[in-house]
Amino acid sequence: MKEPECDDVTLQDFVDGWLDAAQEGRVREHLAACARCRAEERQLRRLLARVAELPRTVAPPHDLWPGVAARLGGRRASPPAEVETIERPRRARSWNVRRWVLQTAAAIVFTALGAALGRLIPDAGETTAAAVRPASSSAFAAAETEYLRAKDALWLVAASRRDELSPVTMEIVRRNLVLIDEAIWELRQALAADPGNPHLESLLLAQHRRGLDLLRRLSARSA
Amino acid sequence: MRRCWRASAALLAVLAPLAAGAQTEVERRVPARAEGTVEIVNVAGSLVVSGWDREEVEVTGTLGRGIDALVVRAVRGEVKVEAEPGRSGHQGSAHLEVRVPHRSRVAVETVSAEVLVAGLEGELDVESISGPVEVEGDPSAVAVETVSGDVTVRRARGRVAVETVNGRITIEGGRDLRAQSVSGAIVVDGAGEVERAELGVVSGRILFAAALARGAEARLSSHSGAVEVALPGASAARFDVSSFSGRITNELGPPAEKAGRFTPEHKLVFGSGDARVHVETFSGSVTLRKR
Repeated sequence: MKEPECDDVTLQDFVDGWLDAAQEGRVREHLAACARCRAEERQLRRLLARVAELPRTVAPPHDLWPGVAARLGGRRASPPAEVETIERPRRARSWNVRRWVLQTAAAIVFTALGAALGRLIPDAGETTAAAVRPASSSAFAAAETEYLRAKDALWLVAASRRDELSPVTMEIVRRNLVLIDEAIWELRQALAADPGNPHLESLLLAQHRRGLDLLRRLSARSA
Repeated sequence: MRRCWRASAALLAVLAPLAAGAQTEVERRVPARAEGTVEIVNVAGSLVVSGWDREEVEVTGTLGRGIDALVVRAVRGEVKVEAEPGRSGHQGSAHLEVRVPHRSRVAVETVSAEVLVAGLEGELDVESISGPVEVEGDPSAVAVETVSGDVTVRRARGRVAVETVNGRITIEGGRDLRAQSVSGAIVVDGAGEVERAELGVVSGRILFAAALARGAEARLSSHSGAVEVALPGASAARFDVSSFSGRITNELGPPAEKAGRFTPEHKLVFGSGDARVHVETFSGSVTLRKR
């Protein structure tokens, strides 16, 4: 079983500010003694900073409405006979823009991941184990590293909008991410007993892919 | 400029401001292209989308507390329908029935609204969080993504792609199926022949009970969830079944040939073995039986 004091999920919650004071205290004590987790924490905070630097207002390019609305805005006094102008509630607009920005952030992460995995795995778009079988065990290790990096980045994108998501949705997602993590842990245990087993390696990468898909969807949605 | 704009965009927009807390009946109709795009946004409540023969989109229904406006706009025959939440902070709900040209490409976006789509022949794309989604009829392609909502697709004729987190997925029909869930069940119980299926879960179970077309390929993957494959008696298929620690039960007849070097792997061939069925699990059991 994974060492409880080196728990990645807890560390992510710590960086996200989700822990209560007692839990934070325990994590700080652990960080003082664990170089690996300190490095992990620094990496998480760097990723969070990159997410925060993403543009906050970007007009969805596929939406014709902003241009039309701008034109209408200059003519409110005498709109065309067949058109009624719309004063769109600010809240609805910001919802759409924020969502688009976060989709962009998720897309950036996925594009980078796709480029990295494309060199390692025949078809990284598939989630069945056979389809994500890496060319070799060294490729497997590299692929898993890329998955973990991308997963961390996407989790931060998703976590940055936790205020928008309903607690019920977040709990469902959290529980299912735990299920995926447990599957990954079981597969790693099996791989430790049978190193290089290509069947287990491909199952493991398939689970990573599922976790990423879930985070991607969470990053692109709001509730 | 004004003339240019009027020539290039036929726009009809309707704003229905609502008194706070009131239930407001709405009825709007705008022109649409026969094979155009209809985008519908309704965060909560219910939504029924149905196809009809007219080149128009009609929206009827009720807007409840927390919905400030129903916006229906058409630009060059492309239509967007949106029940817009207000600034009150309440999550408003609307109950809408939208009729669209039956060959339209329809995109639905919701959070918790119940969605029912029927009578469409064009592509359908639904994004939801927790609302159940039910599709009946024969869209050329169906794509549904949700977190916890159950998804049911009946009588599909083409490509069906469904992703949930813990929502149950039920697919009846369709030739090209792709379904993924973490802990939700996936049930494929098709009346027609499947050409391609890719189903994956972590802990949910998979039931694949459908006929396979000649040359079909089905890939079923699970970590700990049980996988059950039920095929018609005369199916000609080659099975590759592997599981690290799950029990493999073959009720189809011939004994399995264990072929795996690393993990228990069984190969079975029925008839010409034209179709291919790949099943792989870590600890989930696998059962092969007649449908």
